[in-house]
Amino acid sequence: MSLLDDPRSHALDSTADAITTGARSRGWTRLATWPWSLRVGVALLGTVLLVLLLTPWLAPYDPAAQDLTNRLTAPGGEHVLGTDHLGRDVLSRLMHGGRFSVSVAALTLAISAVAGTLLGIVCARVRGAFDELVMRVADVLLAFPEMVVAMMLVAILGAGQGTLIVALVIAGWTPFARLARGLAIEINARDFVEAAECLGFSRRFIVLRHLLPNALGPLMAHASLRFGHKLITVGALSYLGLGVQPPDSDWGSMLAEGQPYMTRSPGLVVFPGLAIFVTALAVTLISQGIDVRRRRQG
Amino acid sequence: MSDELRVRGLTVAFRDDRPVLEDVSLDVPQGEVLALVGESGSGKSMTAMSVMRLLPDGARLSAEEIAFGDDDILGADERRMNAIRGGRISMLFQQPKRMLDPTATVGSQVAEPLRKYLGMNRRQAHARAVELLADVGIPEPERRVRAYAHQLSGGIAQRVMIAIALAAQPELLIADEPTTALDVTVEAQILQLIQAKKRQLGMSVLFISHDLGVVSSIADRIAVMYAGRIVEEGTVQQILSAPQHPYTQALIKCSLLEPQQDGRFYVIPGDVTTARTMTTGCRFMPRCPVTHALGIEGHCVGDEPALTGCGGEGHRSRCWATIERLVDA
Amino acid sequence: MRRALVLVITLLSVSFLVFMIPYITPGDPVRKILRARTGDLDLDPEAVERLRVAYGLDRPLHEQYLDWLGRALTGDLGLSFTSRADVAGMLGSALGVTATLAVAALLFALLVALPLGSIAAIRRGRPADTIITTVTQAFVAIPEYWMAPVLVLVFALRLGALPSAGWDDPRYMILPCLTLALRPMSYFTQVTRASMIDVLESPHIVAARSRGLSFGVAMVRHGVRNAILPVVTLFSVWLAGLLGGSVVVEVIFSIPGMGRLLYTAVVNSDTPVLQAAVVCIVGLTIIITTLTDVLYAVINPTVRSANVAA
Repeated sequence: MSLLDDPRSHALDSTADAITTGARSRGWTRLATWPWSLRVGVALLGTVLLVLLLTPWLAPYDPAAQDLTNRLTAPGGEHVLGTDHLGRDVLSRLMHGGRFSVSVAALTLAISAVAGTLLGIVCARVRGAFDELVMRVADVLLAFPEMVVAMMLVAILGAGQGTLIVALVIAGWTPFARLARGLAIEINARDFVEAAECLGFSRRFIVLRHLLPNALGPLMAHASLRFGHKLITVGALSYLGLGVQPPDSDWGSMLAEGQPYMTRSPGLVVFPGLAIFVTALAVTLISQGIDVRRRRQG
Repeated sequence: MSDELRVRGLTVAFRDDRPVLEDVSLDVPQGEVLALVGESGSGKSMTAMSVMRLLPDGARLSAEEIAFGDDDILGADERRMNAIRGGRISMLFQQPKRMLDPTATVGSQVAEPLRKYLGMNRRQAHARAVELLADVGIPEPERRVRAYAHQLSGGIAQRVMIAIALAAQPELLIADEPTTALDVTVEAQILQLIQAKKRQLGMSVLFISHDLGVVSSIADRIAVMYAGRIVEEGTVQQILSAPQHPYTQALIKCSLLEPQQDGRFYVIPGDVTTARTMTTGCRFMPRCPVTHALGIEGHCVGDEPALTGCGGEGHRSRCWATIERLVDA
Repeated sequence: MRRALVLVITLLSVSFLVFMIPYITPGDPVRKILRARTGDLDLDPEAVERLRVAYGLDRPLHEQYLDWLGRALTGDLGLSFTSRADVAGMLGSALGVTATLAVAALLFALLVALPLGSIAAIRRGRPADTIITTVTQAFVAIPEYWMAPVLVLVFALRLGALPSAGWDDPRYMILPCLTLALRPMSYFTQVTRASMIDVLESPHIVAARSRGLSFGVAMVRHGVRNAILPVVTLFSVWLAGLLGGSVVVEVIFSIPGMGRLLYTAVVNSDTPVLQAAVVCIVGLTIIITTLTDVLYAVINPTVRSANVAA
């Protein structure tokens, strides 16, 4: 019946805890505890990534090798997924094309995430005019649909992979910046940060030990949410001819090329689209699974 | 119709968990105030929701009887219940501001029971709503009628809830911790208001609270709940001056806020969650100071005691100490 | 008031930015125009100069911008470089087409999403909910440029039931609307479900029932207004987003809307059209966003007093 039994005194314990441990790992290694969505998502994504990584060794044919005697064949036989209008093997093209699509999407995401987050954290620390300016610019960018930004940049810089990346980063950094800024402001105001300051920890230490780990969770969640969208947008721009330029191809441009021939060979349209769908779905499932798991642990 | 609330053998459980309420029985005779007292998790709110038949999804209710006068609540269909709720039995809740629709004006919500039960049209209901607001002591009622929930203070919001609850002049008011979320001074005013309305309308009141001090001023009889059971019941006089159950005694010591000899406040050690996992014996035993003192552990561990009379008229306690004493006597 | 200021400033800065596009772009804009018009790779230098003067592209930058701005404010947005058609007119008709397409698609999405989301919320945790939630989340991963050809393949080419391209009568709207509606429908469903769950569990619904309202009445009178708010906001966000974002669908189905207009302008370096279209889209987006905020304040009184206090 002493004060130590008083639930209120436990608050001191958690503050001490937070200061000394910062982020906590949560036992991710026990596969059996993963929800089904996470398992399926990881399995799918893992397969896709593995195939794409090993493409140079796995691809049965040269994706650019034309065979005009063997055009628009159906799936099966020598060419597992058939051939396109120039006799090129669909499966190999799918694999090589996927490397482009996925890498561009991932790169864009990574750059927007990192740049946006840093910007957001800086805004939260500095406040004042800089903060205002950045937020206004973010607001203005909000008025542009993503495709419009991308098309404008293509108009300036010309079509191509590089433009694609720049365009998507410019269109995509705002949510990360906002999120990071919001989190940073909120965490700054939290009790245990004040307590840490009182106890003499430096600002940099606080940022590294407490801000980032706490912010990492929501940021990664948001990133995984956006990946599918990015992949689809990359595909859209390539489909319109504004992204990857020939002779390179990715899933989007494959779809565009195959469309005129889809009555004779529907696979030309079905397979690239399926690839995008499965990959985007896998990432969505993963982020869903993480969410479910996080909620289960309370 | 006689307006007595009778509950017998009420048991409520969720899925396959331990029951939240077990074999609860109580009476609220016409014009009386019965206080249901217990800490969080004791099942007091569940009892109220059971009477109103507003339990959440997944709750299973069984009872011998739940009746209000001639109305069989246990067997009533949803239509009959809709007519009873707000009409014969009304309810007050703990967080008044949250119980109001944030997108509707105060006035429109006061008007609802007026239009439903008293058949008023919009203008009549509006006028009467203003009167009702004034009646519960809200200043500038004409202005308040057009206000929204977030513009009200806690005390005013609770007065509004009272106005809504009493608009159709119910016969029974169930007040579920109506003052817990309010400041002490406001609390006293609300209690006074409830008492005044009770006298004015001749209602019965089922007053739920965790605070013995609060109920002592308003109640005629008290029933103490612990872990889903009634552990003691009696008149206010009996409970406060001669509590029989160790839990009641502890509650009184807590609410007195008088430091003990060693300068510390009285705290009941442990908490109620352990009681959920127990399958035999008295639920309060793990926290009971009396069981060892009187050497009756054997009984307390083995069987759950039944509610037994302990002297006064209508005074009963669920404790082996009580039963032993009677046996001894 | 402050909003109006933001709108004007944004429009001006955007228009200037857009105006600068051909000048930032590597390459001579006049040559590009001629190339787009004639298809010649070898251009007669005299023709190039004549064109330059004709378009006033030899004057200083700020003069050109102010000139353009002045004319734009009076409604003269110039002539398309490629087709010589009146830009304002092109913009107007394209806008009408896209607006129709977008509104139809979004309304359809809403029509499906509201009941689906509500059912998922009411039967939360049970099979119906799991199915609805999983399926809608899967739909988000379906690209429009996959869905469209597949739909065309099935309905237009194999079944011959619907037209595959064009914009002549309502039948032409069906496939594009269906394609466009898929992703917003998923988002709408999820949002409806979430806000319905909130409402179903909210205390004021319990309080309403304790006054004798049946479940249905309590939900309609006190639940709907609260549940609908997030969906309404999302609806407008999507509407604004579809103004330029419908480009893929418009290209696939040969629909003469804003998206396709912008796309063609980019490909052909058709500067006047490009400038006008971008500014128009941005301006409309801001207007729609502002209107949404106003609408939100109307439905949700909690926001109103906050604004007044501020």
